[in-house]
Amino acid sequence: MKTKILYIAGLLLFTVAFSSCNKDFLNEEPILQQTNEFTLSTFKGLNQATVGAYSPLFDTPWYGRNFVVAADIRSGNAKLSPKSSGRFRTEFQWGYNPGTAPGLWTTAYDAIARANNVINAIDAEFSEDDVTQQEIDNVKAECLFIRAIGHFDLVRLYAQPYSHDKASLGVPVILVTEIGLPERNTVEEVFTQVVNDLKEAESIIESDYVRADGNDNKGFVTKAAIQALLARVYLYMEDWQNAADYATKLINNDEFQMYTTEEYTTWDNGGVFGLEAAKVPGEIIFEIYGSEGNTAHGNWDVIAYMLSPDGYGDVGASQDLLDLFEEGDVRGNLFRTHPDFGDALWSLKYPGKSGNLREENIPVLRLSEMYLIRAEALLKGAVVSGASAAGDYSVIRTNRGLTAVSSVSLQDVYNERRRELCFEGHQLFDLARTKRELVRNDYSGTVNQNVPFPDYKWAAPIPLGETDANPNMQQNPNYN
Amino acid sequence: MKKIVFFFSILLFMGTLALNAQTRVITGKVTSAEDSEPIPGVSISVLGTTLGTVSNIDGEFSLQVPEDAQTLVFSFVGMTRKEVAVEGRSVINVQLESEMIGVEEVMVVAYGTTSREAKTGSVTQVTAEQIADVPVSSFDKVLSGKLAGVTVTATSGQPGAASQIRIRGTSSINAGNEPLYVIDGVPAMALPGDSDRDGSQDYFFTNTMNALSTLNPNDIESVTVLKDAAAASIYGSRAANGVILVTTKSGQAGKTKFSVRAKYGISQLANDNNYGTMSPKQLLTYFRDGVRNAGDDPDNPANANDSKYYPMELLSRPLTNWMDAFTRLGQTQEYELSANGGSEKTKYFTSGSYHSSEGVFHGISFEKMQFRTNVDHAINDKLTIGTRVNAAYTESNDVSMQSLYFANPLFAGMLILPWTPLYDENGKYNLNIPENAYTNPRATAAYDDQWEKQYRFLGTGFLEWEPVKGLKIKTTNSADLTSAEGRRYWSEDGAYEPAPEDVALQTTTSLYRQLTTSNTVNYSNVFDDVHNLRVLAGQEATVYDFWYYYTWAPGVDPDMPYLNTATSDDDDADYDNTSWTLLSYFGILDYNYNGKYYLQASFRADGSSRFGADTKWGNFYSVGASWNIHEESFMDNLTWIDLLKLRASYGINGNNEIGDYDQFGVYGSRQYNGVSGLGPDNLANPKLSWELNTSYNIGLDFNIFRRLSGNIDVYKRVTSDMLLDKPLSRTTGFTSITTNIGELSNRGIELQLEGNILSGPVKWDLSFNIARNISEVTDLAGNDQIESDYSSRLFYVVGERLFTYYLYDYEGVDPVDGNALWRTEDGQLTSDYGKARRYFAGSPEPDWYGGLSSMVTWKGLALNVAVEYKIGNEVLIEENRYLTSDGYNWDSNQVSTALNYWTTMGEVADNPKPIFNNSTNSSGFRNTRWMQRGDYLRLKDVTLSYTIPQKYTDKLNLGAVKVYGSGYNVYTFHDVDYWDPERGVDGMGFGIYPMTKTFVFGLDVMF
Repeated sequence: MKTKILYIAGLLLFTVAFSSCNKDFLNEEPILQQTNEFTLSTFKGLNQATVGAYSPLFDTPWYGRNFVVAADIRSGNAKLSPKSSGRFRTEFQWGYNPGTAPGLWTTAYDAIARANNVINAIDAEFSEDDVTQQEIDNVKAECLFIRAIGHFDLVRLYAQPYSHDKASLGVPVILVTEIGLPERNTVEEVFTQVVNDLKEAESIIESDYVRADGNDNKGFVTKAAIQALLARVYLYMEDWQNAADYATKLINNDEFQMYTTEEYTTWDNGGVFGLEAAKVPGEIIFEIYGSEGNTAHGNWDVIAYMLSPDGYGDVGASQDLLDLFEEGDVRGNLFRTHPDFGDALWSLKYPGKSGNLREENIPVLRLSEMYLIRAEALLKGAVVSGASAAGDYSVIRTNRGLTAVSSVSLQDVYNERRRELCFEGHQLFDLARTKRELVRNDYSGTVNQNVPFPDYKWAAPIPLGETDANPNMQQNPNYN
Repeated sequence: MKKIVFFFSILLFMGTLALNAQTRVITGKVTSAEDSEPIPGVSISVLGTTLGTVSNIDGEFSLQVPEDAQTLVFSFVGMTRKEVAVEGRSVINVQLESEMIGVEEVMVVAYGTTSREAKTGSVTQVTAEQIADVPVSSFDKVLSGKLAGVTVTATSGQPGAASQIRIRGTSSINAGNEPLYVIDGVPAMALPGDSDRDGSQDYFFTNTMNALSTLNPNDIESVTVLKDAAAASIYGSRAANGVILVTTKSGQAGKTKFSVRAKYGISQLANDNNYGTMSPKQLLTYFRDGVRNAGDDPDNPANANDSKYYPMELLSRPLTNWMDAFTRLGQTQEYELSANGGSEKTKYFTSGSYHSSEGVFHGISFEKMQFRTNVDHAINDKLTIGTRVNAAYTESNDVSMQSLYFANPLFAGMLILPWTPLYDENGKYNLNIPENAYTNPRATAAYDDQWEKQYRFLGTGFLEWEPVKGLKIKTTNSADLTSAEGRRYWSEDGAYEPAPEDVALQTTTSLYRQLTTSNTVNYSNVFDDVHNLRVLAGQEATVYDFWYYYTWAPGVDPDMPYLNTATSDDDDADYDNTSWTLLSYFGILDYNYNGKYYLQASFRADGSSRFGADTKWGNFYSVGASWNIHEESFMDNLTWIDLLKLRASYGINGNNEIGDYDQFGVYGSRQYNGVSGLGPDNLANPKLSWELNTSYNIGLDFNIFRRLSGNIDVYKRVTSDMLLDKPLSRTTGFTSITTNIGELSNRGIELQLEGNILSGPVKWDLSFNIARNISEVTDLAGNDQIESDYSSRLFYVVGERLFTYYLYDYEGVDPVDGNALWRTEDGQLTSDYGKARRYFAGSPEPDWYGGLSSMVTWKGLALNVAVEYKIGNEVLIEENRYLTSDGYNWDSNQVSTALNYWTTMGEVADNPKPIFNNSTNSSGFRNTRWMQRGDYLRLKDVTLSYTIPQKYTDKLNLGAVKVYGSGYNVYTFHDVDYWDPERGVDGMGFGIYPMTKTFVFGLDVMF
């Protein structure tokens, strides 16, 4: 009888215990996440959210691989090699349709959203005890840069070039991230916003600011990175004087020095650019730090895996590119073969960090590009005292095993950009902005060997997911 | 023997308590009224007590009863229960009469039992004998084709793999669709690996983590499926997809009875349409035609580097059949010992089993050890306690078979070229296989690791107190635990020229825990002899926790391939943790008037941690009524009608499988450049709540001529407040937000018939079921259609069936030039894939489905045959995009269905012409070329058994000895260009392990 009473007492107690703690009992919050409101209400949170805003830059659709590789394989610098995993066939043959459109759209707007959250929180009169306005401004400048490069890369990929038709459809300029159905702005409006963001960032960032505690300081936004991107943006806008002036700021900045001919043979120092490299100062102004420790890591869908025959290796170097290198040009040695594939050549720009093909820093802005921007701008009429196009062009040549020249043509600069910046994601957009047609002699595809300019194909289609979700989103012409 | 008894008494964790009342012994014999044969196994009890025993093999029994015992109750499945007054006798012989089929059959239902006469909801049941002999590793496979309206779709033919069970269609797009499993009264834990959304196994390395496979099918007494709201809605926010109640065997008082079972079986890939690769000669011709079609010469050695050189000489090289190299004869073995017995006060059932399967593909195996102990003990007249404990260990080895990986032997076996050698010059497996990304699944299976070990414990204890007759207070408490460990290791020998970091290791450790307390008060009584009343009130609380550690270590030492040998620079470790809680109050009211009119109502309030702040509690209810027409006096003349019952029910259920933290707008961890930051994980969603499922059911049960019984049900289920990932403009930083906005309905009809065709020496029972379920999407929050977020081939479209393929319109081969033809939006034919229209081409949902089972017995022989069928569904076999690729997937083997390709002008061909590196998209994604009719008729299982006559077994002191042979998936009639037509609920099982045929021989001995 006694046991019985005990049992029943226990049973009742159990029931009561459960019933009496209803309120807490039904409250389970995630322990591995924190709320938006809390995150954006402290400087620590804003700072962490800014680091998070960098993260998409290394995603596969963007600098992690596709944006860079596609620009080279679509433009004739690269071609499909004899080694094939089936990747990049669509890009090689300009076969985009809305269903296979490049994924940068989602990735870049993700980064823009992350940047906006921080910028808008700061703009809402954010302050915190023991945090200076300069510290807040530095964080904001980083986010402004990320927002600018997001819009800039989007408008380069999904719209016709500014130089061709700046009134045509650009991409939506998103300054406040909220659920809505935005329309596309014009190309000109997008560029205006990019310039505004970069100019504001330039004006508020501390001149020697670099985010603390990173593995690689060149993997973060600095004043130099902002100025270098501005130089490039002005070049795309054919604002030759501003392009030249901003390029000059970097050329005159003694933090950066050209790699010499000797250095260039191992210019990436085994896949490590920037501050990780042995040579400091070097050419790198801004790069994306590549590591398997990054959250946005594509595993095997990363750049070096694509460009090396030891990885997937689908993307090789085209004869059209190889033919451009003169005797003695050390850059012509930056190619390799593979014993199984005869004479086929692959670029050596991304050998993987210490041979690990899943890790690679991706150069975005570097000093040689600034010389090339200025040389082109000077040829187009910009004036910078003490600088000449032939001089800038010769700086590149003399640091690559070639001799200086006394005169230079626009075509020389275009070719030099190809030699110098190949496999860094430039050539496609250079063709578009200079309104030249694509001519490919070394081509194994079946369609779109040559693409005239103008042509609707120079603007990639908006991904189907976006046009399905947003009736205001106008598709580019001729894509159904 | 003594030792065994001693062993079990330890297992039982409690000793036998001595009886203390004055007792005497009653003996007797139970025989059949029909033929006077003794009936063994009849349960005999003293009315109003828990004292009881079971008749022995000769029908004899001996029962110790209190002096004042008044009445004995005799009951046996299939026989009419009989109450006999003792009247001071010490010998009582009884004859039992055969029962009318089905009537008074006891069914386990939610929080109790009912008889078929009393039920108001739509409930069906499968019993032990239908489960026992089929050669499967988990009981869910046995349900296939047996129950009207229940589809069991294998996601894979792999041993131990889970099934997708759908009761009356698919009710949800984004919340779960699996029914709730209630094992011995306690809702079982759903593991993340059981996720049915896309079959993905986020937390497990193998495809074989079917939680149900840890139950031994032979331990199961019955499986009850609650289909409509009246039956299921007492489970509230978890009942929307129906409920499957599993009841395991209880002990029976009497001498200990042992069962020993052994099975051995073999299996092979099901391939009843002779699907497979081309012969080497056919393939070479195909390549040569492809090169010529690209305007080149296949005999020109200068083309070697461009993969355009295909000399006839290739055929004189040693040739390998890669499919043969990757497959083997699968093997299954299973051994089991169970014991069952006890005293009137303490009864137990205990079993232990070992199961092992070697898959048809090298590298795949599944092993299970399992123990169960079920004990019931009557402390005294009023208190009963009991436990149900199941412990299992499973170990499965897997290879990458869940998608089109190069390491998937099924896929690689069809892609690797026949002239590529299996071994290299050193006699090791060749890895220089460029056409398969330098991967050889045979090497992967031999050298790499991919395994998962699980330890699963499910323990339930209950205490029931009956202070006065009719009032029962019960508490049931359970712990459901799963601990798992997984390892994937990419070895040096499994990779071609590996870099140091390619020798890599992944490990996981995880723990799942679900604790449940369920407490009920039940009162039942009969007033004035005609008013039968039952009232139940209850409370339940559940806590679920899950944590998971993951490590990744590239560059481990091949001689010591563990985390310790990797450098800390490259190591990655991760942690995950989720919890949810559920608190519920519920009640049931059952009333019937004189066994004629039944009324049942139930209510449940569920509070869940998953629901948004604004919507913490949900109320769910049902009402059901039934009318036993045959009990009416106006039916008295219709003696051929044994049962005629009309049922109707209405109710509201919920579906709370909505993600543990989807309501919160949160930032989560992000790393970049060695700095830890935060990125947005989820948009805030405070209104997020359960999906609502409103269910209507009308049914008719009948039983006529004492040999044909059946039921017809017509139902409608409406899912509203359905969770949809409402697509967002990507400019929000997200692609979608989960919102309670959609609506869909399922309506259907089910017919189940069970008949006794022959009785007498040859007995033949036949059962048949057929069902039709039509789903319709009725509201997508204003959108006409949205893309399914796990496959761009499936769209949800208003007015269409839930699963609708949205595909480019392939129209065959142009007889003029051999190119693929496409239908454009304006109805024209074009060879430009980019201009093809995309339309709603078909659905993987069948129009009709069901099964047929037959059981014939003659003396000791029994033949069971079960057939299942599906009619009117489509499947999408996009694997064939790579296997009949017209040269797109160049320099890879192709299947023989690619052979009939266009060669000459005017030819009407099945396939477009092959072209070297074909870029015409003739084998493009998402087109109707890969869609085929998926109807099938499958001979699911055939079992022939023979029970050795008692006169022989008696001499050996054995109770019953049965030998049997059984085939599973014996033959399938279908028209699909693939191994097997069964490809999961969505019909798209990309790269899955196809179904297998299994043949088993077994021996059961009881003593």
